[in-house]
Amino acid sequence: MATGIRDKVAILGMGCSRFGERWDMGAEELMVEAFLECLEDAGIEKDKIEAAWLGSAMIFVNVGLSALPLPMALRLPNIPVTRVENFCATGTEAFRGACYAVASGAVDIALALGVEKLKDTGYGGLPNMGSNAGPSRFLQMPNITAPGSFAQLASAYRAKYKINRDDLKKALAHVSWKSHKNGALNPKAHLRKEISIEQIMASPIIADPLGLFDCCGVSDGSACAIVTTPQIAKDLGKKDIISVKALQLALSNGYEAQYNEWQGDHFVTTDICSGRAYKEAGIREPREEVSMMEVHDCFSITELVTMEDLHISPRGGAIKDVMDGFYDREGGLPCQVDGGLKCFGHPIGASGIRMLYEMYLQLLGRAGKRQLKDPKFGLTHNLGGFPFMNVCSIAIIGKYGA
Amino acid sequence: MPRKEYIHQPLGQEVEALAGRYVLVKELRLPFSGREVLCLIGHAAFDTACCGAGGCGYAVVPGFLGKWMSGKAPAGEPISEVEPVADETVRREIEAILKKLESVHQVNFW
Amino acid sequence: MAGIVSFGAYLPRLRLERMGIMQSMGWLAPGLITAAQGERSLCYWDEDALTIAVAASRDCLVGMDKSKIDAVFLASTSLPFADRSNAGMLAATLNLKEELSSADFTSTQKAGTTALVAALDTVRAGDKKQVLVTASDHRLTKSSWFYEMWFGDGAASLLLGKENVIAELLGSHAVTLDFVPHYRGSHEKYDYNWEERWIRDEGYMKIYPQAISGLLKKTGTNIKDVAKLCYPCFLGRAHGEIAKALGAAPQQVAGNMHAEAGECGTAHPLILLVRELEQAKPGDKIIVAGFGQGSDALLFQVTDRIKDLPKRSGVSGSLARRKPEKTYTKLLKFNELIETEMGIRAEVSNQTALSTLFRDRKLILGFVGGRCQKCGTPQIPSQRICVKPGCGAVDSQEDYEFADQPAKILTYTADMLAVSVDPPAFYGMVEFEKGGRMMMDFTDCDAKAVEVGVPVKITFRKKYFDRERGFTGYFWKAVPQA
Repeated sequence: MATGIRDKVAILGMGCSRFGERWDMGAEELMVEAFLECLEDAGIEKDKIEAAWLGSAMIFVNVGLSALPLPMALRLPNIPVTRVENFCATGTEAFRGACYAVASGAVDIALALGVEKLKDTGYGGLPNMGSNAGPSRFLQMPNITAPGSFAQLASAYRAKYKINRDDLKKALAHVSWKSHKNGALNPKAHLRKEISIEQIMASPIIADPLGLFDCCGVSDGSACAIVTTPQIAKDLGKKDIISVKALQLALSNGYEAQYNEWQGDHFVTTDICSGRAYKEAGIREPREEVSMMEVHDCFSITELVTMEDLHISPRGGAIKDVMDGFYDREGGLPCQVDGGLKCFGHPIGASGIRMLYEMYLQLLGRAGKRQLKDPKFGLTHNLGGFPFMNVCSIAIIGKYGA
Repeated sequence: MPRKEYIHQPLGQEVEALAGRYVLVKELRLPFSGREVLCLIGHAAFDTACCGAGGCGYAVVPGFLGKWMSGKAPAGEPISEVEPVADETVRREIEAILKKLESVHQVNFW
Repeated sequence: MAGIVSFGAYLPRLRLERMGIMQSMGWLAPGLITAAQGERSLCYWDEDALTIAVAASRDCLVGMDKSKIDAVFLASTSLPFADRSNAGMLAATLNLKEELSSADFTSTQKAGTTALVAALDTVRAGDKKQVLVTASDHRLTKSSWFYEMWFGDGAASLLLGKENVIAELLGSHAVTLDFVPHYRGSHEKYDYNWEERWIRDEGYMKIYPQAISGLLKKTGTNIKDVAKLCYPCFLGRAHGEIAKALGAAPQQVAGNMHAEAGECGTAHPLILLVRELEQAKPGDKIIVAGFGQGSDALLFQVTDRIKDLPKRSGVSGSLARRKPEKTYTKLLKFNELIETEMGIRAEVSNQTALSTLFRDRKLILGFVGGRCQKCGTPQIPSQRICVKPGCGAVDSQEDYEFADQPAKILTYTADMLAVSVDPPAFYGMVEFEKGGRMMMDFTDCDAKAVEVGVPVKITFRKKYFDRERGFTGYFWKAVPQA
């Protein structure tokens, strides 16, 4: 009988590069920046790392095929290294690989590193995949952009709960305002500027009803974690041990996209994935027990609806919670404490681990001006793809034994 | 329709978001059936959004103008009183006028 | 008795006002003013000779039994492929059976009537029950040129057979002459035209009368007994004079549709014929003739059965489905006649995997999905394992055509970021009433008509063009119905 990942793996150290338009660095240098911080934090020599997982998504503008760029850049001692990709869950997938290796007893210490170098394409935005999207999909699927598909989530959500357009717009503005406020306090964020509600409201629409400040952008960045068992962490002299409580994934199977039932108003995968994650973590009342979250806020509407799929806000109740400030840094369950994708951008491979990095800093009391009071559980969430067909990942970490 | 405040945003100043940027180029006091409608005209570039690139001229309509610059916000910006345009038909009429008058792709009412 | 069993037509809904061309280019070519009246039909950016041929053919097949079709002929001088059977693609889009013969008729403006003669000969030979003939053209011209004004884009389709004939063939007559009013070398984009006065005097005024009088003589018909004469001629005065030379009265001549659509190449004689069939009475005799390197002329007599033909859009429906367009630069952009910056993002490789295309041909060209024989759920694309939660039957899918299924918009967006020739790009989830849904591109959109719950019709359009390799990719899109 499977017992889940809870408390079987501890985070020995973490690192995160500065995110931004890193014209000065390629993927290799970004990996080193995150890794050096991580290694120092872990307090070990790099030859103690027995296996590594590399997460990177956009192979054609990034590190390319195979996992080789990681050991080449970090000069790792001929250990097994695996490259993973799973849309926006890519970083979390790398972390999951490393955690499972430790939990299985196959290795004592493993590395997970996510990186994405996007600013070498010559234009803004993610690369257009063309026929690289997969031969059959390329022949049939519209040239969907993410704002376009997530905007459809907004119209369906509005229709389902009979929400007036202006009320939704105000809630979306609050979601964005809050994240920018948090991001202004983060030295590693790409965009470090508070933004007023008036400035948000005076901005144009990108895909109705999503405005300029409702959409995330493109950045370069890297983040990593070294994981081991709680016992080894203790033996290495770690006092505050942060352990993994849950690691879950849920992927679409065509139900939303092809079967006439789902109404387009929420994420089927997140709904299921969060239930499994709470069970694995032993969390019964997520609204009360989860201390903080970093969710996939590629668009303000994604964050808003995700609050319900994570079973934090009741169905149809996210707008009220948002407007009440429940998810603000001073609120009941702070969300996007580090500034989120809105301020970090979305170097796909790195994002999942960057979210974990903030939770890790908060749990250790190392988050500086953003520090929350005594957090216990931190939840991270990624959503890759489109509302009708996606990959969802959720990780929960917390104090060991909590 | 309840009145609300519009805090005047500086013109000609670029406002940066992660997905792009915009600049408000002018404020219009558009005569409309005996009243004035406050309209903001902006130019935007969505050149760093995660999934594409674009841009457009656009208008934002805070509403029918009440008292013009009758107050001051804490940071010193002037405040005008506005009455948001709620009626869908009126919105369409204003949109049509603005699209003729200005080089705008979208007209947003808040 | 061989003849026409059914007909259909399609004109793109965009009608460019010719004055729009004049207003943009009159400074350069002031003489354009003489032709700058009325409007011409214009393919949207995702339409071409094949897509409009598909639309006309679908119109023609309304209420028909597709299984009886034994051959498909496609006539055009502007087909997307020089070596790939365009008629074969047409047959695939209509999801016709694989056991049929197909042929492209091309290289001359009379290809439409030539294909019609060949189809009737085929039917009369007895081996094949029904032949579908579709003619379509989307011709390019240089900018600021009379031909840009005279030409239109359009297609017409006729189903020929021996049973349930609505117009019986009384006879046909052909003339072949290497008369060259214009030519287009094998690898050239545009026609090279000779002087119009010569085309009129030595061409139209002599060759049409030669073919039509030959037909009248062969069938023993008096011109006075012919209800309508359908023949293209974009030179307005010559159009009337041809009839006069034949001894016909002006009211016997079908208008050349210059004012409403322009001349649609090889399709034009068939378009004129379809337009007449839409209003014909049993007993009417109609002559249709085409003009190219010579001429074909055919004589039909309408039968009683015309009253039983199910309603179709035809030419009149196409003319009614009209969207006026004033902006001349749209013609240039839609036809790729000006080079515009589309951004580095648009440089993406669009190579088509031909093996995938063949494997998925029913889906890509025919819009055929599946229906689970166990639970009855329609689904598209069809996959080996049924999508219905709790069913999951393996290899239970039977072919299921989605193109004519009623459908509506479930969700949609107007996207300012997607690379598009006519931004914003509209797309969304389309839900089929009897089951099945799919994320699809929308086309022919009026922003105000796009709303959740609005019904859509499914149409075959260009999806992408691989400039490097000259390959046009097609798929199906949704047209919101206002």
